[in-house]
Amino acid sequence: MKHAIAAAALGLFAALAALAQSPDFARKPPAWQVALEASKEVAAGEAIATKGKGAALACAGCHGAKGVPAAGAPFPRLAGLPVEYFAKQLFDYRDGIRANAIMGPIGKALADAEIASLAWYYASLEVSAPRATASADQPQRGWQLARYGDNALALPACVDCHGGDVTGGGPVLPGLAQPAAYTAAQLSAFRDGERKNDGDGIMQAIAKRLSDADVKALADYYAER
Amino acid sequence: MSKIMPAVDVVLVGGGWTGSVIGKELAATGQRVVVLERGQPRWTSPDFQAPGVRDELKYTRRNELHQNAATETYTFRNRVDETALPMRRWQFAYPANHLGGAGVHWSGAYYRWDPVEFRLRSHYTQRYGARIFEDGITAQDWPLTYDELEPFYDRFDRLVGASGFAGNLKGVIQPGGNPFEPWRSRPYPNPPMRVPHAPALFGEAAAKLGYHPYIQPSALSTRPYVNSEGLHMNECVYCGFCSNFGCEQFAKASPQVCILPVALKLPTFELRTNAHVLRVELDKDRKSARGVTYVDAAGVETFQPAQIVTLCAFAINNTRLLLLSGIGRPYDPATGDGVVGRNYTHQTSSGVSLFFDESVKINPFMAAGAVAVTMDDFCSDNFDHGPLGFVGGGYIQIQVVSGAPIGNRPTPPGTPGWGSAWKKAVKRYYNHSIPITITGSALPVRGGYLSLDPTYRDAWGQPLLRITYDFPDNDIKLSAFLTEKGTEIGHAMRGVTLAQGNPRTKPYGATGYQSSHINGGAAMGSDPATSVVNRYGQCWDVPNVFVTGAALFPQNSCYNPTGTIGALAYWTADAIKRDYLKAPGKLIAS
Repeated sequence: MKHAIAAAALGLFAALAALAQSPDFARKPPAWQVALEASKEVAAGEAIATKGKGAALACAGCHGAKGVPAAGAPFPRLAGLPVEYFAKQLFDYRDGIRANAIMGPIGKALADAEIASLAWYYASLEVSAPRATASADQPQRGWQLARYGDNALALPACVDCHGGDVTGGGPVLPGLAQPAAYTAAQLSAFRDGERKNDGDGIMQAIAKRLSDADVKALADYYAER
Repeated sequence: MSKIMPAVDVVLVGGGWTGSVIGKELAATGQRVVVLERGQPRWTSPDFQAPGVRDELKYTRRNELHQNAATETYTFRNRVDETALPMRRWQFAYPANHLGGAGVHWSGAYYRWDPVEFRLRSHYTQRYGARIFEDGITAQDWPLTYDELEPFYDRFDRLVGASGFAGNLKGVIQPGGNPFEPWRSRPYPNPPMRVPHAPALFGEAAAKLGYHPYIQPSALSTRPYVNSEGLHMNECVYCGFCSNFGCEQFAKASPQVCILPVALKLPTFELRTNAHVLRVELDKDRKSARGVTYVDAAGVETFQPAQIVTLCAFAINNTRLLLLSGIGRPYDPATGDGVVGRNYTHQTSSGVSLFFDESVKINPFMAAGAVAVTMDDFCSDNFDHGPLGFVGGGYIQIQVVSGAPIGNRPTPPGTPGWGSAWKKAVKRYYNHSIPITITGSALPVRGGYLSLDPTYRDAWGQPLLRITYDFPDNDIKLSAFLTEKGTEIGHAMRGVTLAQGNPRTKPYGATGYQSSHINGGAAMGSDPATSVVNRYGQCWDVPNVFVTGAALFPQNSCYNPTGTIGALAYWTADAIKRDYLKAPGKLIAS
């Protein structure tokens, strides 16, 4: 009897607890979004980009003056990246969900406001596609994957999300025109689990279905955009 | 003289969900299967890729994936003493065409039906007395129960990559889920969808009023998923081109994404597109089907002999095929005799237009067909119908389907329909308006039915399907009640400056969209006097013909049909494999 009462009381308590848990459907803004809204200092961003800050090396050293890397360099173009994408990447380097030996320590050396300033600075620079760094030996396959995807592999076209030009498809969906070495490295990082800052794993799942030849074809295609 | 194809074991009419599921299941057991699809083959890549697929004019306004009303449509009237006229373009619903059928252009709203729906007549009679049903309502119990169907719902969940949060696992209510959900044996394979701003505001207000809002289950995958057939689905990206469109992402479940690639690898499975079936051919004694006659892509009339014929066309088009083939006795509303065409229903939908102050940004283009916060407090028999005097219920929700620029032009009541005042209102409200949608159940009436039209014919010279229907008072009362509840919630939402309820009123019409859920005409039942097929979808009169889909529904629930249609497809496939193939004949004595 005692047990029954205790069980009933427990049941009632559980029911009340469930009722008390009012559903909250509102989206919580991620930290990088909060930082971007709090700080929009383009000049401060330019200073860090050109001179560095403490352990954070000057961005321009690798990524070029004005955010366009030297021809043949394996580093990504930063000019014209969406502020949201840029800021999110540095937060993710810092948090380790985008693992990289060079960028990890740089992310850790920067405060939220400094990341935001850099994002606003690079977004303000003119967008320009990188010059071709590799000759495409599979132009057809790269074009097909980028524009139409692959039905048998259940791959949607890259352009569905990333857009058809250098400006990209949305706040966290950058344009894909980048040096071939960079694109290939990122697809490999997604495939191998070194880069897992893609929400629910959307790019990891896609990259796992790309062959080495597909990766090269896409890297070559986007190097010439 | 028709061209004659080599005989097969099973011919299925229609390459949508049920044809694909049953076709694949039977082909995998070694049966030689042919699926005849009247439309074109269309695949996610390249056919549904951006930017080409994001074309509202082509897909929504010009009905690219819908039945071609210029070659085949329905005629419509409210009452038997009227002359029906053909629908020249689709407004009240979007019947499907092309490979995958409505399983391509659907929204992906994904529900199981409440156990009460399967014993509607007896449950309400027992709880409220027989008089709760107004005169002339022909609602009846299903010949099977939710518990029997549950394992098949579970199978279909894993095929479509269903997303949601279980509210009831094996009878135990789960905090944070829908407390009214029917029990389920396993959680959803994928987590619930992300919630846009407007549904979040709706959920906040509904909870404040004491209701139980939750995130609508969907057949849009919410993460990379490998389904029960080993096929990949990607994550929904909320692109806003969902209802009426093919999904560019392999995220919205469709036969193309979820099952056909596996079926097509089976040597026993053949898909023939551009194959328009005219009728099922019967033996002289009319108790057995010999196969089907169709018109192929070249326009040649062709006979496909088969041991089993399964009708898997769009919803009520299966009823038309039965009538055209002379299977089962046509329903006569004057006497109430006959069964084929009986118990036609649609969906008693209504809405509440909401207009917000300019601080509330709806961003209606950040959308997916099934992304909603919804509530089941007024579904099925989840509330006391005694004082209300009607049967049935409906869900109330905000769903962000599309901000497509031609169709989505919300303006408050009183705004002129053109000119500068209209333009100003469109600019003011495009991003500050969204409706609460209410999806209500529908009861069949004695005078509502499907039959062959005596006047109008299709492009192949066959009589069109004629719809005769008007709402019962029951459903008008239901809509008034639900719309009032929805309006109260609208008034309780932050930022709302105007909430205007628009309940469904008589007469039922063909010019306003209600839903694409048009049902009935081949009701499933336990009595051959009031049903066309038995509990396995097998025709009482011609046992080697099976019928699938929403034509089987004796009445409509408030819940979207596809979950139940998919479960029933597996249920029928199972019965054929387990029982019929071993001993062809009647699975239930009659």
